[in-house]
Amino acid sequence: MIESFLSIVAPLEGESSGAVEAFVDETVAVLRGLVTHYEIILVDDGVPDATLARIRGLLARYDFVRFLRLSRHFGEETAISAGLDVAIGDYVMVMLPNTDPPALIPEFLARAQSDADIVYGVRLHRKAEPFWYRVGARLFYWYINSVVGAGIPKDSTQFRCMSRQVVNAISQIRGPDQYLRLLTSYIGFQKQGLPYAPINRTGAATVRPKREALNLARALVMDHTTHPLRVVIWTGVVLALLNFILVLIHASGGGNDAALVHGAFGFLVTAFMVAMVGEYVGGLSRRLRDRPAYYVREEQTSAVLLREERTNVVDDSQGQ
Amino acid sequence: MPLLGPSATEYDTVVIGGGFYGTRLALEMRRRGGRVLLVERDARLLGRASLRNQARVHNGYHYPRSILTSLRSRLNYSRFLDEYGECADRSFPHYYAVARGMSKITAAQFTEFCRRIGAPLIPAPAAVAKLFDASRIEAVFEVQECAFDADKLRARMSRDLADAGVEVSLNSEAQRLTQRPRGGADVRITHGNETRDVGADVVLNCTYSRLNQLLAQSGAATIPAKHELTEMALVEPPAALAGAAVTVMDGPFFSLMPYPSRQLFTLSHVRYTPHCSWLDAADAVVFDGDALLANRQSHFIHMVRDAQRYLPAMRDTRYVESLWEIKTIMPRSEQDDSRPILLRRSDEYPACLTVLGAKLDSVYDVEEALHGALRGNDPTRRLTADSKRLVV
Repeated sequence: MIESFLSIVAPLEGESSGAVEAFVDETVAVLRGLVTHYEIILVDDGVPDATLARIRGLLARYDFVRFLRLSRHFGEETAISAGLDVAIGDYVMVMLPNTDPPALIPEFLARAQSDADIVYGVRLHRKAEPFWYRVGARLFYWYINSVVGAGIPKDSTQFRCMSRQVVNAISQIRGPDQYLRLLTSYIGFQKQGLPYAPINRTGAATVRPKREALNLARALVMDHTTHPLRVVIWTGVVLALLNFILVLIHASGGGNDAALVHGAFGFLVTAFMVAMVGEYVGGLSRRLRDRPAYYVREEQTSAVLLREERTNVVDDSQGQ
Repeated sequence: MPLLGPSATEYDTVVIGGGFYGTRLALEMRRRGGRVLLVERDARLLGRASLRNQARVHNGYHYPRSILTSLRSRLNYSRFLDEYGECADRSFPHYYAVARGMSKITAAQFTEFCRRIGAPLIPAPAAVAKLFDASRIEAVFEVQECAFDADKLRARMSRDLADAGVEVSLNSEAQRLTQRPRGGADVRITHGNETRDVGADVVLNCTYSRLNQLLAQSGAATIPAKHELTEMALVEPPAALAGAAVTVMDGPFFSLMPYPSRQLFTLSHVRYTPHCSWLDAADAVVFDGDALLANRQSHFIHMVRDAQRYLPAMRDTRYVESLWEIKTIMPRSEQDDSRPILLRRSDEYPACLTVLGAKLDSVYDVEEALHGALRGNDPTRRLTADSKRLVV
């Protein structure tokens, strides 16, 4: 038994939240034998009504389960940061109930206690994912790590264990977009990857829809760096220079067609530049609004009803 | 103090339960005249919920979402101090901190609320305010609120009872009521191996968390009530706080209050103080929660871990032991955070009035209501039906 306080933060969203019961059952079984103190924080970020009833059942069955209901759907990253804000443990683990196996909790905790401040999960393989997704992921990691140097470990997931020091550092960063993976890279500290094979309790799709994946990639890149802005600026400068040369050629009696094509292409690039600058300005204005990233609607805590008195008495002697 | 059972078989009033409410009301009934018997299960008075609580004398600050409760609380605060000033500990500064994010009120709202109820509120000294984590605490105020010493209060009440000539029967348990044909009721009281029926015109059921035990055993309808097994940690406070009391408002936060009778402090937490709960549904078997009080695992670590996020100095709190008690509230209090008082006449036993309060100082409200219920009636006569149920 480890003399420590471990908090588990689990964001619940949509269909995959149906896995919550199995997840809590398994997690409690692991935690009971592992640490002297623990809590499981379930963050509701848009849970269907049917699941709500099951969560209430869990609160009545197990001690130390907390249920944090956000005022609306804010997205997984915000739900996680809400959970981190209320977690009280010496170590805090983030787990997605549908995909992260509780059996690995001891391994994560042991490494976080001895080797690193942050232990993050790394997908062993992406075999289950469609071809386009794998290519996209590869491209994304190449760009964000090799080109702009964000330092997001390849194939890393949200499954992670962090020391109190790390959680405090992360909770100090306030803003509308809280990307745990980016923040983790920003704050530094000792990190270590732990390869694992994600499970899939509900059988729900584990890859994000195309649009969401693209949006996330865009947001992660733009949140981290202004590199894309520099790329388009330099492209613009080069094209303007080219334009100038073309105009010179044209003036000395060159062809018309090349200038037309070039003009059209220049317009396209200009539009692209404006769009990108717009994105950054938009991000800036979101930040300047400086409103809370989320609101808590209510918090519930385990109220185990007469656990000790629950006896194995039945009133029907014929039942099995 | 007599350690014997009841000396007579006929009384004007039998008060069941020797907590603060029971002793107060016994004195009150004695003032109205007639013989009064006070029956207490334990070997001493004020030994249960009157002892095992935060020892806070409420001055209104605590209920920003129920202005009525706050105003009554303000009134009763001064009445309580006028009457029991000798039992109060006013030696410590008390700070109320308003949390960010999870709090149900903001600092501005709290200031306005205190202005409206006329409760004194000044910003805490900078040296105190900087002890709190500014990212989690919006503002810290100094308030005027004191604690009571349960031992001194017990001594005072015992003295008052003796002076007034109220008969006290300790180690005695009221088992059940029996209706008398000409009004009034017989109370069956066990005292050691002895069992005796004692007649009374008025029976006051002041048994707090056991309010339904007597009713159920008498075959009377029970009163909907919610019970919570609660834990307050008795601690030595961190030196950095220099003996101050701290209350963080208004949501799942903590309170650190002096507990004068032990020279310690209590640490309680809205999230971790309740351990489990149950309801007394009408006509169901009433569960005896006292069985839960032994061998509990403390939530102290949870309380202090959360508290130190708001007030880092809390890390140096030293745990001594826990106070376990059953807290009973009316289910409606959960919605609006009000603390009404229940005064209800039993349908089956019109001589029996059940009293349920939430705070020591609310006893004045009960007395007013009790006078209302008994007004115009010689206590020997049956009361009119329209005063049957009264929730103040």
